Amino acid sequence: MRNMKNNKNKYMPIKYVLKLYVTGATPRSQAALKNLKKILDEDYKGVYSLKVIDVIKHPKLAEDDKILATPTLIRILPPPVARIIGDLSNKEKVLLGLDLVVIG
Amino acid sequence: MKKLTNKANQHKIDLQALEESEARFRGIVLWSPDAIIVTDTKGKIEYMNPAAEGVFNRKVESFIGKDFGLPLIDDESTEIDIFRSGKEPGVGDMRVMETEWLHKKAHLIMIRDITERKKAEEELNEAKAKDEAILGCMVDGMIEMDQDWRIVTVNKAAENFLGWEDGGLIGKSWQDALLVQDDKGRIIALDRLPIQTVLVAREIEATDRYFIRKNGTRFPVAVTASPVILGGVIAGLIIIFRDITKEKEINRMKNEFISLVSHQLKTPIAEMKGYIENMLEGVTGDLTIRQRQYFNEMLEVCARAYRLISDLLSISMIERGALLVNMLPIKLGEIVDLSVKNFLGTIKKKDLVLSVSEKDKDVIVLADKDKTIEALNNVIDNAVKFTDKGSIVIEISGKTGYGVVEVKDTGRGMSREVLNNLFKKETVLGGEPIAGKGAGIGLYIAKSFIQQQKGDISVTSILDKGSTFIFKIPKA
Repeated sequence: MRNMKNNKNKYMPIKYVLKLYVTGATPRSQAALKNLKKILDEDYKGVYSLKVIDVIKHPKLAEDDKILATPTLIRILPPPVARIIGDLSNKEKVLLGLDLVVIG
Repeated sequence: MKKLTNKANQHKIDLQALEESEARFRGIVLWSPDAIIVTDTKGKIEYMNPAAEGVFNRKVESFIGKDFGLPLIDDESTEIDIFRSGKEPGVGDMRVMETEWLHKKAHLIMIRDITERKKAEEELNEAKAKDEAILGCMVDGMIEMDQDWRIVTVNKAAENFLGWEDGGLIGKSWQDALLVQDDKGRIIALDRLPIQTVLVAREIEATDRYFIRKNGTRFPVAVTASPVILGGVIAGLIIIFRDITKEKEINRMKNEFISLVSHQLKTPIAEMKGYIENMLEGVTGDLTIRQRQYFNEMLEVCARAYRLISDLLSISMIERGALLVNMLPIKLGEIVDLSVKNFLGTIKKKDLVLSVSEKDKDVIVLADKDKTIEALNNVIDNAVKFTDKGSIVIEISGKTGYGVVEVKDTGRGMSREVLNNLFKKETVLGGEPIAGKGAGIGLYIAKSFIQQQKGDISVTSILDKGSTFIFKIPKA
């Protein structure tokens, strides 16, 4: 995880585009949404765009993205594409898995 | 040279061992019922075992080389929702371990389908929540005990009734948590408690006792106990009880009212009866045939009313525990003769055959003469009422310690349901209006009178064939 806080170069704001696949309102889906919103609102306010896709309502989208299980969180932009699957309660693991920088 | 050969041989052995190990590993992965996915360190799928097709309901070939994702695990495993093509989603338990795959670092991901287990857990939690809601809103107290008589569940109502509002009942044994008294304030022994009866006889029992609160005060209860049976074995007991203090008070007031009213009514009825008898004897002059008929009918009405009021008075005394008996030695034959003569007219009118045995008439019992005659009157009255043809046979015998009177009729008989409720004061026999029928409480009074004298009344019956009432009174 790269921290930009002490970087002397001029800072360029990054807009992250994320996709979160969930399954209806299962406890795992609700926990994932809650955890992710917390992480994003704490450190990425205004610099992220999150699309939440319910695989029950949009199975075709899930098939196209080759989703096997949820919660699956995909970083679309900026490249490279990264994907994590499973528990989103550990902020450090989430940021590491998606290679997100901490802005602040 | 020898060194080189040994090295080559060792290498061969090591290679063989490695191949065997890999073969075993492949075998485990191939035959595992859980989905096994091998990804590179970036999450790209290198391998999926055959079981994965069943778990995800998709062909594994279409996923090789695609992204699975980096698995994030909390502690040892994590739960995920399984996306199944064309089927309901499931629930999986995902575990990850670092491994090597084709000589490169890899992730080995195991996903076990736990959908059925989760469903069962949810149903269990739902059932538990429903049970707690039901227990919480129950007005009656509920106590559940295990087979060692320890309290395992108790609802709020039970805690409040027993004065354990702050808890503390769970885990306590029956003996430590509450004592049970009878209506005379005597502690009821353990083997006579309703739970013992239920555990031995496997019956549901309703009883009338007093429970002692935590602070030592007591309150009357109506109790129902029921065994918990698992696999044919008693695994515990459930007791439902309620405080019947108010009911008892209402009952007491009712009995006192009945007693008061009955006393007040008895006198004018007796006076009216007296006047009518005088007129029939000619005290006020000669009567026409028609007038005589009317007065006889009026006398019968008075007699019925007097009997009814007497019965109500008797019930009131029985329920208040105020029934007194005057026990004296008396011949059983004498009681029978005095009772039977009240029915000779009715028996003749119905053209029934009456037979009273002469054997053992001199058996002497210890009894209250008036109450025993009244009890026998009620039984013979019942036999006469419900016998339309045939006979009524009364037999006396002296069995060990008891004088016994059997009243056998060839009447309508009674069903099991009627027999089970026969001696309760709410029961009214038959189903059609019969002239002379009282309030249906005669048999209840008869049994109470005889039981007060340390005797008992029982009955056997066959529908459409007849009934036999059996009196047992202790010998003098």
